[in-house]
Amino acid sequence: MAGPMGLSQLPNLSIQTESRPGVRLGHMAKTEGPSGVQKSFSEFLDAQLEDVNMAQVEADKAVSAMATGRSHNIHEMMIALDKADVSFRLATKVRNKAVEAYQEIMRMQF
Amino acid sequence: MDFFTGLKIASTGLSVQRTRMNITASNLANVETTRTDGPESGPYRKRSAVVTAVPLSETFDEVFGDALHDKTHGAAVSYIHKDETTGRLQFDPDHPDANQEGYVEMPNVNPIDEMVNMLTSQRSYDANVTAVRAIKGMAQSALEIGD
Repeated sequence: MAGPMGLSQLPNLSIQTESRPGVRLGHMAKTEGPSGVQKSFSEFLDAQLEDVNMAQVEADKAVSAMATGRSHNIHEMMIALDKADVSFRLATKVRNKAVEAYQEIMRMQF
Repeated sequence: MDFFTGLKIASTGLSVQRTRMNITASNLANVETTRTDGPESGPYRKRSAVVTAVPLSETFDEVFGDALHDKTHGAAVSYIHKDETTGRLQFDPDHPDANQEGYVEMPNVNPIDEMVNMLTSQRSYDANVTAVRAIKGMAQSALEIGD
């Protein structure tokens, strides 16, 4: 999403999302979490990364339990691995989007 | 109710089908068993799984949400039923477990029924695996929206 498209769409986007609770591009620094508590984006990112890490740790545990013979549930291990995989993919997507936005801003000329 | 819920439900289904498969294996292995250890000491009795739908909620939040909205249920084997009907009597006077008339009570396991149960649990297991794959595929294509 490089070039003029990303930038020219931004004002539109903020108008569209203004009416929805939770997502407010007008107030970039603070977003409302599901509980209604004001959270900064970095706090949100931190919590999500913690979740992704937990999924990785759980997958690790499932694999070692399987390898050491403590568990006999192949499907549970595979599902734990799948969960970790999908969560990590989501995290990478979010990271890529954030970097993209950063680069978009860095390209701005005044 | 995130997309991991579907994975959890499919996982319970997989566990149930695996338990059913174990029970089928046990029944087939004991198709000729005329004595059992422990207090009963008679021939082996056919086992079958009783499957119950269980709500998947763990935390208070989830229980509350389930109460408000539609409930999703996982499956679980609640108990293993023992079929107490008498098995077929086979005339074999030389057998150590024969009664006064020379008949041996065989287990009430029907191998044909067991084969059918085995096929259904195998196919159900496959179905649950397909569900897991579909859920994962959905999540991955959702992530591709951003590309």
